[in-house]
Amino acid sequence: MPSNHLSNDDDLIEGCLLGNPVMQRKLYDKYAPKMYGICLRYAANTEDAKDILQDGFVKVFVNLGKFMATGSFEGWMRRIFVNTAIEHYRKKNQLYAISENQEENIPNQEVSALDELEAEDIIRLISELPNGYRTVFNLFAVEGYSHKEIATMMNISEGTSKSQYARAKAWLQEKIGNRNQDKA
Amino acid sequence: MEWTKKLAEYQADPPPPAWNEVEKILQQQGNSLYHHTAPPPNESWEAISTKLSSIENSQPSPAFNWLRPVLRYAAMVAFLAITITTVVNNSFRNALIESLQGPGIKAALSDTPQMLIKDSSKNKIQVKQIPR
Repeated sequence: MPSNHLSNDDDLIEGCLLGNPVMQRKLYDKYAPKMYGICLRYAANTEDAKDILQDGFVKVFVNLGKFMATGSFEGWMRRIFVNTAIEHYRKKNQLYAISENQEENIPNQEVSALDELEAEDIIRLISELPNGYRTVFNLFAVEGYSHKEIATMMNISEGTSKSQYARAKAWLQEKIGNRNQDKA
Repeated sequence: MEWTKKLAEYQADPPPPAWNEVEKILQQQGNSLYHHTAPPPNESWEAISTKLSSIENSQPSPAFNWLRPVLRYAAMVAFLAITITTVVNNSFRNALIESLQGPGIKAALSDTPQMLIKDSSKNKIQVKQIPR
């Protein structure tokens, strides 16, 4: 049964470290919606998102003793889930690389503003991106990591990270263009 | 590669531009994307709970944590004792065999007159039969 009362993080962490299943459930109830939001952004489908959510929470509980209370607990959890998502797709996929030259040639033109796209629509489009593009797009455009950081996290070159992002942009641009044409 | 082809087509004939729209939305809604939440699947907690239980069960009880170093130490002592005993026994046995079966004893026990010659290059004693 999900609990209605959500304790503060320190109590939850202490309870979880003692192996208290009630506290584990409370921690899950408190953070699962946020973490599932991350999983959905990084996953190609809900099945993958579910797998990432489960693996991520298991890692959180197993490594809870390593959490240093100096930073935000949510930030620590978020990093675990992002890394779990990266691992998930690293096992499955190879990233497609394009040259820096191709990246530079991708046009970035002015556009008529269409305010109909909501966050949900963007997330749906992001989930349709090929795996490598989606991960880099999320890390760069949404999470705010630099290409250098992404390269380290994903064990790829900085150039590959940039090219993946450029391709994600081109892909999204095309999808939104098609979507607008359909509406018109 | 399919995407390289698509990209070339895209560059030759760009579709109606839309990326700025995405960027605009990301700027406007980036925060909501970052903090986007969704209700997790109902069965997820059960799966996580089961995985945690199996991990906990595979680990030894904390009550027996002291036992592991003790057992390791005992195993090390036993190994050393067996090794030393074996080595000492083997050396003693080899020495005994050498003394019983050595060339000196053999020569002494032989009916044929023999002469012991020390080969210093090989650090061995050789037996040379003396013709009667």
